[in-house]
Amino acid sequence: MVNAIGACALALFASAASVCAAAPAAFEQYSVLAALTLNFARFTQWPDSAFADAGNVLNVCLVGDNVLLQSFESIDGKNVGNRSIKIVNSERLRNLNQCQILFISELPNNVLLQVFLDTKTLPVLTMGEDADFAANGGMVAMVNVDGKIQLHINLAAVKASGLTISSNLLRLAKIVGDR
Amino acid sequence: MKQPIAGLLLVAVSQAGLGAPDTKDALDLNVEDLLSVEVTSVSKKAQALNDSAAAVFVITHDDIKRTGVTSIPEALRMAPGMDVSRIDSNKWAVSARGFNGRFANKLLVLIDGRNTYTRSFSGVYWENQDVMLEDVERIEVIRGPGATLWGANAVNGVINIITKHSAKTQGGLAVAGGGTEERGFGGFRYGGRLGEDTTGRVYVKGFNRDANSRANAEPAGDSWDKAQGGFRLDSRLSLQDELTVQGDLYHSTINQTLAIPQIAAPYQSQFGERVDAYGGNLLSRWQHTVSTRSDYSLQLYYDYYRRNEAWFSEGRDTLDLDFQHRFGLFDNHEVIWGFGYQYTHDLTEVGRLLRLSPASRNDQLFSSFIQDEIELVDHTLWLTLGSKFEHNDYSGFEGQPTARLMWAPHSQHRFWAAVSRAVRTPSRAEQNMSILQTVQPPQGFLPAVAVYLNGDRNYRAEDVIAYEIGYRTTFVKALSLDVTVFYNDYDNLRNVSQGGGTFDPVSGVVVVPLTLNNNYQAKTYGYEVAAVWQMLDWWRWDANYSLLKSDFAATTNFIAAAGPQQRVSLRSALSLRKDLDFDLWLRYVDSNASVGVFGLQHIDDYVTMDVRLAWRPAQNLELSLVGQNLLSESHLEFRQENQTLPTFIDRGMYGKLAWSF
Repeated sequence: MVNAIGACALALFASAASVCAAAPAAFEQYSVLAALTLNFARFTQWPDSAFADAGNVLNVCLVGDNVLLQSFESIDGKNVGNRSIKIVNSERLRNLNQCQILFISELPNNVLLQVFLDTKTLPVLTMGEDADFAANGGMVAMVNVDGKIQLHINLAAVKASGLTISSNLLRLAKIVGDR
Repeated sequence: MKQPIAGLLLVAVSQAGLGAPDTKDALDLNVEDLLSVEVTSVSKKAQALNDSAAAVFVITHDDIKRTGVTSIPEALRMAPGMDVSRIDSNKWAVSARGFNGRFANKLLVLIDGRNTYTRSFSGVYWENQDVMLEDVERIEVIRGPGATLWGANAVNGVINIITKHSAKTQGGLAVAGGGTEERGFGGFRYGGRLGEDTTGRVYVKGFNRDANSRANAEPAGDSWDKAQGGFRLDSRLSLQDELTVQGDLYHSTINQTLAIPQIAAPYQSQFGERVDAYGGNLLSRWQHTVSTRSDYSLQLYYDYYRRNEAWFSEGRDTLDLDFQHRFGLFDNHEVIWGFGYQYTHDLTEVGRLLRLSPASRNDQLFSSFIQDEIELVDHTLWLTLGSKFEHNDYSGFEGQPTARLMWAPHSQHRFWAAVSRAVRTPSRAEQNMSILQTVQPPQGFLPAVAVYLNGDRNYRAEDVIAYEIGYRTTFVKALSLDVTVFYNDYDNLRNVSQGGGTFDPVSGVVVVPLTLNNNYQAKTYGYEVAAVWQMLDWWRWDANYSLLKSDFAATTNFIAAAGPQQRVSLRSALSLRKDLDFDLWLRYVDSNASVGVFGLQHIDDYVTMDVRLAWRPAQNLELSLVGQNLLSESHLEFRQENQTLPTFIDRGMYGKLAWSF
């Protein structure tokens, strides 16, 4: 019995090796999300009031674990127009009004809804990574569907905050409604 | 089997070189390309570091699925520091960091916030606790004291079983299968939307498990079956209020062979019996969110169980109320405080071994706790101080403080240290029992001697001062390492003192009483190492090693065993193609000893292996074949403290079909 299983595993393995060799190398999800976030920073227009205290930086606030923080280091300091991106660890959810972009990877649902309530009228672009995020009041969700990222944009929520996302991005996204 | 494994490793190593992730930067791609490249999130588990200043290990939904385990205790074998030993088909000994036994009493187990602890023996009837495993979101295993937040009994660890929110279990799921040990099992869950803001699910499940074997390969008569059903409703009352209501009902028929002493000739009796065990629970929780840094919840549950065994019968109702409030104070304090009240009522019947007097008792428990997590240096250094205070009807007032420090000098490194005190409050049995332990047959003219173990109303709480330090890192890409070192100093542990024998003219035997006391001390120390390595996008390794050393004072009557010194768990999760999984799980458990009325029983060390092969011919259909304990016909893992004969756990195979719709 045991030997049969071993042999079976080897046979399967042989077929897998060829499948693997043919497959294109995949990107790590968070490095793709960081790159997409950079594009949102470049293709979103904030009202001038959003930068009243910001000087020449655009704050990208992150709520999540070390994997998220490490991946987003790649866009720290990148230029966006005449500003540069600054990564802020906002794990404690303090001073969210300083954020131009707020990327939330993981939060209990009740706290997440409260964040949406608190930032509803602020010029903060809220971004997340599952479909419910945009459906429940978040603005942009970058959803992994079968190994590819899909953009879900809650346009009503974006407009309510006085933000404008370029049509270059909107045409690649699925527009979802606010509940 | 050894050669194919070695072969797999060789192929893997050569693949690791070839399949190195390409160095092309995602930042060079435009948006269209970013949306069309293949992305992978598989290495997240190998890189994410836990932020708590405690020894936490998380068993995910995926881990449960890929090991093919069919019960909660079997799933707990994945965690380092956990000692899970199967006594027979329907009984387990589960503990963390030593002191294991069927009636182990230093571990707290919660299912969706409901405490599964029974006051009867200050432990858990594992055969009563089950959930629809497919609906489990994760199991958090916290080694070491968790008494400040969770309460008494969290001496050596806390286990938090968390099921999915009903919004995440929409639609139907049917599972069915069967095999040699898992004779037959099935489950059905359906989740739906009951209005704009309410989701719910219902489930039923059942199984029949085969008997294991005696040393001579005869059947051990320990088969069992169980049927269970339940529901969960989650309703968003407003943007800031959520209500959860859930409940379960179960009934099981447990077969067991008892070997118990009796005071009439032949002074020992052995017989098989069918035991009915049933129960249910109903829980509701209301959560109100005040702000992003403040919320509170109020939880109320009722739990009932009854079991009727030849040696003892008992039933218990528990009503429990808990309030908890979390809030941020100034910029750098995160405070959590709460209070609780528990009322429990039991009704017992004398059996052939055990009598509790009084036969029925009502008890109350009042508790409160406060904990403050202070961020001393931004995103770098945190200090957590807290304490639990409780008053119970057995040992009165108890305080359980903790101090924890966490240092994150870099996003890839975490150091932590903790000192905590925890207590294990007396059980009902320890204060009120009289159990017939052994009977020595008459020798010559001397009458038979019956030894009774008696509880004592002055029996106090056991306590521990635990010192822990830990380190977590993911310094190499896709590899994480978690090391914890602990030293536990126990005091007031259970011991017995022997009283003088008296002749009982009614039964014609000499009665020797043993009485419980608290005059035992012990120290345990050791370390646990857990590693996750995402070797390739489609191949992950999970390994852990635990060492437990104990320093027990010499005694003649001590009734606890330390547990195996070393445990190793090595898992390989291989996804050959998107529709194929191949999983291996190798476990080593050092030699062990169990202590009870049969004296000191030596248990040999063992190595065993589980294998799972799964195929998904369609996205919503999975067929799997699981082999359990493959390396030997049967092996002994533990022997219960009393009553049951040694039972060898058999090798088993089962097939399973899961269809979601």
